[in-house]
Amino acid sequence: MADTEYATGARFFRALLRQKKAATGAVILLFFLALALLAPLAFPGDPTRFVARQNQAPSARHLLGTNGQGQDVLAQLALGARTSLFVGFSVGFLITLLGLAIGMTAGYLGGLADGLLNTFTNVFLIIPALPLLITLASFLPPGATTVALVLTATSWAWPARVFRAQTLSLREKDFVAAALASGEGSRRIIFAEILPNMLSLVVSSFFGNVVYAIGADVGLAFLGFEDLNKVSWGTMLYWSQNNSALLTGSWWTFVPPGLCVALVAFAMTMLIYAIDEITNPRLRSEKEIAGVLKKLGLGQRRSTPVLPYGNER
Amino acid sequence: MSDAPLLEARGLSKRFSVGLFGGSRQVHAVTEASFSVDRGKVLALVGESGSGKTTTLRMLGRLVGATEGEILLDGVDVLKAERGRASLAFRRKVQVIFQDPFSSLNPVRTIGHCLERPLLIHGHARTEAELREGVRGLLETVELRPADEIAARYPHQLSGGQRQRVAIARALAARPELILADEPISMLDVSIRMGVLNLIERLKSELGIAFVYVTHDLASARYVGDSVMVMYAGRIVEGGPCETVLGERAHPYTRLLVSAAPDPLKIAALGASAASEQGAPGPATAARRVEPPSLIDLPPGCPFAERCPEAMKACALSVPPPFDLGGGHWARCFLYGRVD
Amino acid sequence: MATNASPVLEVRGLSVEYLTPRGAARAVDGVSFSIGPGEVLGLAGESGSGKSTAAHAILRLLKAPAVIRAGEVLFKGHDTLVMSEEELSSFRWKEASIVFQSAMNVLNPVMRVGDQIGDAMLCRGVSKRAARSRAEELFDLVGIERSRLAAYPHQLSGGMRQRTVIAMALALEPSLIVMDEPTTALDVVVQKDILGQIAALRASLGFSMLFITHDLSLLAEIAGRIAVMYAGRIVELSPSRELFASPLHPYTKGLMGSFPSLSGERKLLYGIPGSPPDLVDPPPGCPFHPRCPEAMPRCRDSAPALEEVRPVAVSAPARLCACYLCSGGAR
Repeated sequence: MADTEYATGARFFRALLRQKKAATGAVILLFFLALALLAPLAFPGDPTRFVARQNQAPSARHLLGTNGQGQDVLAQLALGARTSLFVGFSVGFLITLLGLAIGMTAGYLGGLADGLLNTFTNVFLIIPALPLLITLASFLPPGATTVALVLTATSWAWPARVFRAQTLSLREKDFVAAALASGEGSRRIIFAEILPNMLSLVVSSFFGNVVYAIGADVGLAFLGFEDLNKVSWGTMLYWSQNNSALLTGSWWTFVPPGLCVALVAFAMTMLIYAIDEITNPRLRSEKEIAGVLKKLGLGQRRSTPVLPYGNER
Repeated sequence: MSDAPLLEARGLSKRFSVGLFGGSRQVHAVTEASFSVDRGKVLALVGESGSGKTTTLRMLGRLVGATEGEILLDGVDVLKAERGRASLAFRRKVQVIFQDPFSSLNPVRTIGHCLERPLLIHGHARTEAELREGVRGLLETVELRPADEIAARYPHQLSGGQRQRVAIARALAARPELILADEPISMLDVSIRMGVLNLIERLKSELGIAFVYVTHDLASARYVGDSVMVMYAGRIVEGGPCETVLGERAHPYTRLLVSAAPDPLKIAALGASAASEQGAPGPATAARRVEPPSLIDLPPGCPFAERCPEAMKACALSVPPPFDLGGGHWARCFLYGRVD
Repeated sequence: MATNASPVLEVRGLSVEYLTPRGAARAVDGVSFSIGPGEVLGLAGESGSGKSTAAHAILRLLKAPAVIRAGEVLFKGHDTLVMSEEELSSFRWKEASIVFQSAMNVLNPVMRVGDQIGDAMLCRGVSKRAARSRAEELFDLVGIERSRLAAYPHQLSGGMRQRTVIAMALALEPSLIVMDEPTTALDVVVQKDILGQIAALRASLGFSMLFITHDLSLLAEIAGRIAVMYAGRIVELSPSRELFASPLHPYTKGLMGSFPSLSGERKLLYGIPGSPPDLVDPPPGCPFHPRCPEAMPRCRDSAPALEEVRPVAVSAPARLCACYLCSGGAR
């Protein structure tokens, strides 16, 4: 029952915004989205052009210094956000959508359809993703779209499994049988009865997938399997490594992109935690109550605490 | 109204395969259930857990397919006429109420929404105003007031009894001729059960709706039932008019069930004769089996034979056919006849 | 019959709250009762009445966010509410044990039942050999073949599992056993069998019993006295025969009108209108007044205390009732 209270869309998001964790995550995320959107205005011109001497430390002129090719790191960071976030969000969206379509179809239909789709999903689950990623990425024409498609193709299987499991358990609920007995059709049962009950799972899965996609994109670029002339957080790290930034001590070429990836992942994770706490109020209340009991010196007991009236503050 | 039964089940069976790789072993959940439901009457189906009563109900409601047998609705074999999915016409006539009111209403939909859908599907309302009027009427029929306020709520904002009334209202929305009720009161608090049973009684007498009432509780079956059937290990072992079956208790299993049911009135009636001491059940007999057989390896004979105090040689050899005891009362027991 | 000998268990003014984000829910509100040696007290109530909470609180088995806010639980004169963890762990099982509703939650699915019974005793200083033979004795007592000691829980039927749990509860010969809906998960035939077993064991071993159930009709056959709980309070406490013959509290009367009977004429029963109250925000005054057919204006102002009702005859046993209808003497 706990996960139902906030399950309807509008109330769910309102509750989300009241959460401190969610607010933190949302602020960070909005900052990066704004950065990506406004970057062409703030940093007009080609970010790969030579602007100053190589490996310059941060200064008033170049706030984050220059890299091994004499390019402005801040401009690259801002414009690179566009590529990285584009890949992250589009792949996150595609994985979630594909996972939902396949997982829910399998879970709802059951029988032979489930058998086939589940086998198909399992095959994709056991294919080692990284080598496949690398192979595909090196054979297809380089570019953000390629990366997005390759990442989607290799990583929809896990969400599909999760959604299938959830659909299977929801399908057994009597409200689905009741809808069937009322004369509802399959499509309505899937989209109007089952799907809304999975909203929080879908949203948190989406955020998780975005984090995964950004990480995988950066990883691929860092290993050199992407278009290295295109600016992204991943290629920034690649060039930093290529120019032996660690040896020359030019930390400003790798710390900012690394930090950005970490911050975006942090923001998403905060959002996932917040969703967890909202859909499962026990998590939150348990924490609060444990705090209260600890203050009263009653924490961590095996037996029922005795707290006479008048002893609380 | 004709005299022909509204719904008739003939040799309805359900088997599930179990085990790995499709499974060679089969669970005989329901075996050859044959009975009929009369218009505007309540047929109670009584059995313990695992007796197949819920599976029987779900087959009638076409929520699970039957392995064998026919279901005749108004004389038409619906399993043959509509292969696969049940038609909308069938759904309009036959509605289902489930045991758990906490699971049978979609938690993310308002009560109003959940009642509007069947009204729309079955074409009983089209405009906004008609829908609102329809929902209000349904809620008032099941005595949920104020109707408008209830309609705006979510299921978790209602108590168990209120939810079960909403579930009944949803079934009524289709304007059915038959409602299949699967243990509708067993998850409810004792004090609100009678309210729901009385509602069923009222719907029967005022709207002429027939019910199949599935329960494990003989006393509630007696309360609402016009006729009753007792199920054991997937078979219907006795059936007939409620008072006759519960009064005569022809089948030894029915006798066992009746004797095991706690009956406060009986004890109160004992009055001064020290209820708590003398009314206490006798010492248990450890040697005798008190649980039904596995449905996977059903014995060839009567499934109750190994527990039956009156078992004869014939009981272990073949399943007794239903023997007519007159007045619509019958029992599957060799005490009442012999096959040669 | 309980009042003569000194009671095994005496509960005075027990209050238990669940701390929730919405506020404290008073699940048990000033409950008092006592159980004499060898007596069976039935504790009946619907879901949310606080019957299980009260029983678990007595053994200090509830975990936070449940807290005991007031009261004394005197077990043979010792207050379990001031016991340390060590004292409690020797008190439980040796002095008082509990049988839960679901045997599957108690039994470890990957351990043989015999070993589980043995372990319960080994933890409390019984030698291995003594534990073994005691386990066999216990299975004899509850009517399971000794060979089944080697079975895993899933190999036993529901009824046998519950018998196993009862055997465990009996292991150290406690003087009180709390039965928390021990037959609710079972079918009627098995239920009757287990109830018979429990009654026979009590008759031969002489332990006291607190028998919790939502099904008042079960208590008719097993309890000497019955306490009926509603919204955390005991509303009536009477010998069971009197309770069934002439219930005092309107709630008890309502419950009596909630059980259709298998015998006698078929008559219309009404149950009780409305639904149980929200414990975080209970109604003012008597918690039952919103559903009570006999409610008076004063019921809304203050809750009546559980008081002795003057018996019709001097020899009649004492009955307690928390209702203004009863407190004016005879009904």
